[in-house]
Amino acid sequence: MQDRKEKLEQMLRQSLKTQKAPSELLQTKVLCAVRNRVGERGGKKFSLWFLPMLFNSVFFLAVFVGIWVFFPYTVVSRVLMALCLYLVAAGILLTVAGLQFADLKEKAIIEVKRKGEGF
Amino acid sequence: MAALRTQEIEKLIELVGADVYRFCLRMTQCQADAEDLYQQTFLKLCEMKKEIDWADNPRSFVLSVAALTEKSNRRRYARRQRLAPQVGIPEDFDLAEDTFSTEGIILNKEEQLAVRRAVNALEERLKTSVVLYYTLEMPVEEIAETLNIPVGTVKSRLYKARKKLMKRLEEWGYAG
Repeated sequence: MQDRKEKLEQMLRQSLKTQKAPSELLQTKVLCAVRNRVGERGGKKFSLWFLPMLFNSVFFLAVFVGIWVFFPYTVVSRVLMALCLYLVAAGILLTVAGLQFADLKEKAIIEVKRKGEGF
Repeated sequence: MAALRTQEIEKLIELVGADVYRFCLRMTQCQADAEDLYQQTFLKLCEMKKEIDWADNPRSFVLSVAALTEKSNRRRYARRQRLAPQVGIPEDFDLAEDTFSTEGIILNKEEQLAVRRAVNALEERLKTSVVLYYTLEMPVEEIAETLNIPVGTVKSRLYKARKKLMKRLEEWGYAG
């Protein structure tokens, strides 16, 4: 049993030990990426993930209210009002799906860089 | 708190870059993935709003960031695997040769590949401890500091990992 344990130890050490070091090219690549990232950090980032949902909701709710106030209460107006509510709900659902499955918060950003920054 | 500056990151790369790269290499078992993980680790450090304490083992700190990055990459990979499965085979780079006969070299390489495959098949938490212990030869206290877990947990993870590896390698006809 002790022999088996020792053999396993030896096999693990031999198989996992490495003297490999990152290549010059990789080091340069990483340094460039780091300098770029640090340069970017000087600017300001704004996450705009909520903006399409907000515009969509405001627009279709305004249309909904417009139809409700200015149009006679007919079948057509009711269908249009339902369509508006459906589009508002769809916009919210799509945003939630984007947040859950597509990193919307991280990707829907705009960056404002200060003059002379960057690499 | 100020974020890490370029010079500090450069100093970290110089100081612990090789160790981080070896860790990445053994965790991913693929050179291209290891290079990606290596780069991601240092980029993540740029984003961190934490001052580095140079007196308090910066290696542990950087390796803990690498381990967390690897963990989140694995999760993303698992999600991708569910949608479009891919088969990954550990690359046979960097195999040590400690025998002179051709047959011996081939057998030795096969054994090393089998060990790496077995390690790769371990659960994430066990694999991380094994790689830190055998690849970087870190003492258990330092592994505990890196993974932010008690020393006893590191010892028990290493014990469990060895047990699983022994069983698997015996099933494959090695470590008999």
